[in-house]
Amino acid sequence: MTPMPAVRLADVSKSFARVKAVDHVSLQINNGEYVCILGPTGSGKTTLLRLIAGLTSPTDGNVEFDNRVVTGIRAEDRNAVYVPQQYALFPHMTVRENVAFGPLARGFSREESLRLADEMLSLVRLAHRAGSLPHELSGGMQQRVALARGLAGRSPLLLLDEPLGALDARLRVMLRYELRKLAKELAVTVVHVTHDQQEAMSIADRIAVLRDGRIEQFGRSSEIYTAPDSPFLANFVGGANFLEGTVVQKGPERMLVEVAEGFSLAARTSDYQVGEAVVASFRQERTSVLTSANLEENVVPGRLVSTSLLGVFLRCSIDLGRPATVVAKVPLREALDQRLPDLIGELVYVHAGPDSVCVFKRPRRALAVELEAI
Amino acid sequence: MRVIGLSKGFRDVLALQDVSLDMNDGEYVSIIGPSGCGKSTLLKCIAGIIKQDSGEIFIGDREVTSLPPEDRQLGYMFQEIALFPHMSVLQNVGYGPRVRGKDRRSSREFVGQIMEMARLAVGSETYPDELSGGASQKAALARAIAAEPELMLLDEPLGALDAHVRAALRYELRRLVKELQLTAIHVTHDQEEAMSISDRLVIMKAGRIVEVGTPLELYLTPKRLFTANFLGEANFFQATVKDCTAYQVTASVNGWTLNFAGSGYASGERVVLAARPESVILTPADRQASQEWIGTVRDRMLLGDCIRMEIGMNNNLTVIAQTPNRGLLGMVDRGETVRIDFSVGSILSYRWPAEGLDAELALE
Repeated sequence: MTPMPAVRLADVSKSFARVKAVDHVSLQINNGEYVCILGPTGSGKTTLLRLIAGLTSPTDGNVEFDNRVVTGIRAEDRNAVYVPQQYALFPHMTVRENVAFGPLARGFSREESLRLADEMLSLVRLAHRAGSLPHELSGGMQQRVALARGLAGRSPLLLLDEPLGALDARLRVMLRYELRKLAKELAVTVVHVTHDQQEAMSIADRIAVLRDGRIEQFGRSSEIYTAPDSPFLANFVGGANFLEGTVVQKGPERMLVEVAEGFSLAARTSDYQVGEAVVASFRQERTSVLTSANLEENVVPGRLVSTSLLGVFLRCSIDLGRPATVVAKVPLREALDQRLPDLIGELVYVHAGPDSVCVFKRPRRALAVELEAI
Repeated sequence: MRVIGLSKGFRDVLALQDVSLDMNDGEYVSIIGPSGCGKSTLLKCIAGIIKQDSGEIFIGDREVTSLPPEDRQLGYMFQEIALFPHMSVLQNVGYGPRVRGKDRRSSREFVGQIMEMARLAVGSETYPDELSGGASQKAALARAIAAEPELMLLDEPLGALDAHVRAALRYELRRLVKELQLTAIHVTHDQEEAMSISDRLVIMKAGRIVEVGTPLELYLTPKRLFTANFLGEANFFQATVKDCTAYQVTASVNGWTLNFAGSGYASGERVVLAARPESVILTPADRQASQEWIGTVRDRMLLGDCIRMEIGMNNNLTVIAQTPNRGLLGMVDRGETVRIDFSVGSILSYRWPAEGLDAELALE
């Protein structure tokens, strides 16, 4: 079965004065799909969402819902609900009335609206606060009320701008799984804007990574994570280590990149030529820290600078001298068995297997600029 | 820094209730807790911005309880960027040294050093509005540090930043504080941020300190159930103790038996067990197997550095498992029947909370 496109953007651009906020974006979101638009501040993601909502009109290109062009149609006449980052709850109305406003505005009867409101409030676990006024709730609860109001209208398309932005980190993590579950239960199509890659990966069926108004990559999160199209993507989605180097050897399905004098990394690719300037990249959780160079391949010496606890992982920062600093995320129990926190300042070896090494063409700009490191 | 018996009420709410805390020289301590737990109020009392109702505050060996903020020799950095917009970035950073009476030349040299340490390269004519969010926060930090405070107070200093910038900058923050041998108190709602850069953590809830310890202590062996839930994810099971020896407990969890290390429980006692998702070990199980601790993988998600699985157990429990991402190859998949085990020593056990489980775990 071919999936039904719920939303299609056909070569959409939007300029404000001289700034191109959205630059030739084409995108198709299928019915029932949960899509995250992920990008740094200023990448144009909110503008893109507002274009879909009809709150701003494109300078070029068309927006389609269910194969119908809606470009000229006003926001209130589109079959979509937009929940802005700055959700505005009515301060004098109870939580229940606030949520019922969603369906009321979409033409449901008062009785049906209240019933839908109660249903949504129990889904977002706020049934016990139905009679409260917004100011009596925490920021996180208020955000869930806004979400419930958006959901209660039974619109097939939900457009969410940083829907978990006002929440404390812990609550934010808990609620993202609930949000996905909710969307799937209600079978709605969701477009969710966020700057948090972990949130995007844990919630979305597909992710569109936006940078400077353009889509860098659009795909399933596992695709973007395992096969990013650029160093920027590898860094922005998941974080990685990058070492600049030169191809020194090439065989079928295998290449050797020299990243420091006398030290090379083997990679399972043959896309580049001997002598070509490249960037070798490997994920932090695929990087291990060895206390002796007991492997022959893909081992680079360095000094362990610091360790810090992330929870599941212990983050180890290793200074390789001239090339760079490398970060290894070592599963906590293994790191403690290795006594890594006691080895700060000592010589260690960094290892990433050939299967974990990605090779990119060396970017024209300086690597730090390309990666948008601070 | 030392705080003794600090209390503060706002109308009918007790924001701080008898809070005492000792900090060592050169220590980096983070105060964390859900919103409304009193962490910012505590910081503001130490700063002298809010006047406490009772209690004493010492910085070094000076009592500062009733001193105004400007006489406490503190550096303060907020979430909102507080650079003076009409001054260049360098003038901003040089503000503290000038106010404290340094002459032009030595002040300029000093600012140069601080900027170098902060790894912040700006021209002499760069103004705050030309900086990115991350660079602005670095500049604000540089300015706070340049005043050579005895104690740095950091109130959600990275709060206004994008997630990836925020995560990178926190290590810079710790490095700078440590290089300058400053003592710092950092308030945040972000557990990972706090764990990754602090020497010690202070966990707060409803105006009180719940627990204090190093990140490793509090993550691996939290004494309080609230801490186990607040610092990282955990599976919680309600259980009944069947047998308890000097070192091992046998309990019943929804009808299934679980053995774990522990002591001091009475037979028949209700307890709460906690297990971190990364301590759950999954092995494929025969579909016909009718043993305990068998379930079906309901969902599998690649989170990036981890793979997360939700398992619907045959006794109606839901268990979350998380393993480091070493590729999806060979991993159990959605719909598969699995057996779960917990890695040795990973089960945490707690007496049934007096106020009930929901109240103990509540985050808001």
